[in-house]
Amino acid sequence: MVRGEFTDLLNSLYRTADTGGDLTDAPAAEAARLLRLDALTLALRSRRGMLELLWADPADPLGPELEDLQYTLGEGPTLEAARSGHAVIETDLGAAPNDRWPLFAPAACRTPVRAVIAVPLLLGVATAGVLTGYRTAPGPFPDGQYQDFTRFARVTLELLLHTPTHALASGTQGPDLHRAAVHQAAGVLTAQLDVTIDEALVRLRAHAWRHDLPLLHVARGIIAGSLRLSPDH
Amino acid sequence: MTTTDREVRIAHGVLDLAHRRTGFDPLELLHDLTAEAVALLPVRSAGITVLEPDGTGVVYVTASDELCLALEEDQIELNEGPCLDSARSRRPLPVLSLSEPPASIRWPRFAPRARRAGITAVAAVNLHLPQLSLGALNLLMAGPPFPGTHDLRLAQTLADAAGAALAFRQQLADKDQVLDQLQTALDSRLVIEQAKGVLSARLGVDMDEAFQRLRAHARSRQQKLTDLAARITRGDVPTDLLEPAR
Repeated sequence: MVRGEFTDLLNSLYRTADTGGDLTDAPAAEAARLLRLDALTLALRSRRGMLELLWADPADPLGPELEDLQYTLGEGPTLEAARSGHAVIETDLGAAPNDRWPLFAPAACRTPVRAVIAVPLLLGVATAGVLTGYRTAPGPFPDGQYQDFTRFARVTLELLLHTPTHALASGTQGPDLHRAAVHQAAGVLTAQLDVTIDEALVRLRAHAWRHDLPLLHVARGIIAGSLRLSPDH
Repeated sequence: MTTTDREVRIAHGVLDLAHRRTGFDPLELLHDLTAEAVALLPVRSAGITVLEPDGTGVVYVTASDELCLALEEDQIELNEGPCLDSARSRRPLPVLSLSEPPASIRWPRFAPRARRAGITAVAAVNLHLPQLSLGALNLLMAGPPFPGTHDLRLAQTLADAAGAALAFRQQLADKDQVLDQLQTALDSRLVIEQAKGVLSARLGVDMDEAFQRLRAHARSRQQKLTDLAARITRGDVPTDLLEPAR
């Protein structure tokens, strides 16, 4: 009985939040199964509006892969939910209009994912982050599933707010910053190419896109010294 | 059971006080509470005084009209009166005639002043406020008739509705502050990762070593790690950081 199990999970997560628990106490794979999804991700929004992936099933690369695609291409449902402050749903990425996400939709279709739901985590009028769910089967998200997803989003916001700030800032403990290597690689590029960090990030993303490589693969290559980008474009 | 116009009016009043748009003005809410009290209860005026948690400093005063506002301010000036008593004791005050004990004894200076302004009796209900502030809704009567038990319960309900809206607003403000700290932490983390990258490239060391050097440098100069990292990502690497490790 999935329904009862989901309610049990929600209640237990609220109890966890009440006692100061954070996202590391929330089981992503279990939650995805009970929400009838194939991957779940949660991104925290920085002051500058950047979205950094903080929470996903550590055993399944599918969610992070889709999030990294959006980060690389600068478009997609998670980014749109953060910018608009509204829920974003695409029931069939293969049949989405060409102008919706001209880069992301075809790229996503090369993964098994076909449907996506992204909900902003709103605190008053501020967007704290975005919870995104991915499904390999195309088709609508029925009302019950949508409501469960938004209920789950509310409890993840409570857990997100309990993230230990010192641990997050220093990177010593706490949630894993999925794209830490991307930022390290951007630092390497600023030194190698004498460009700003923002420019370095753009160069890194452009390289990943042009050569159709995962962003983290490019980042690790730059850090290891096995990949060098040329000073000119 | 049929519904009367007055009941509909009351339900609407409670909803209006309890449910406000995000970012509402709390002072406007308290003023609206005094207006609702006058509209729904057999009272001449209604006023509110909010005190600091220690019961002395005045945070805010409002009233349904000028006469009541003056009497609220008189209570503060004289340091006596029904609104202060109710706020400080966190308890409601029943209807008390101003021309006889206990009111005339309890408030020897306020009672005559209020009587001269045409007020014959007073009552108060407690206002539950966030952050331990003290407050009360003061009811002033020029009657009889005076408010009965049910009227005072309605007054308390209106005050509680406003209190709930204020509590929710405070909760949101607290969370907003937490989010602010969280986003600051994320920004710090990003700039530290970036600075590690810069240093590792400039020094030819791995990320762990770059982080150790970064931390050691900040610590020995009592600099904030984030400030040092931000400087490095702007291309301004302290020269002594680039020297070979001791």
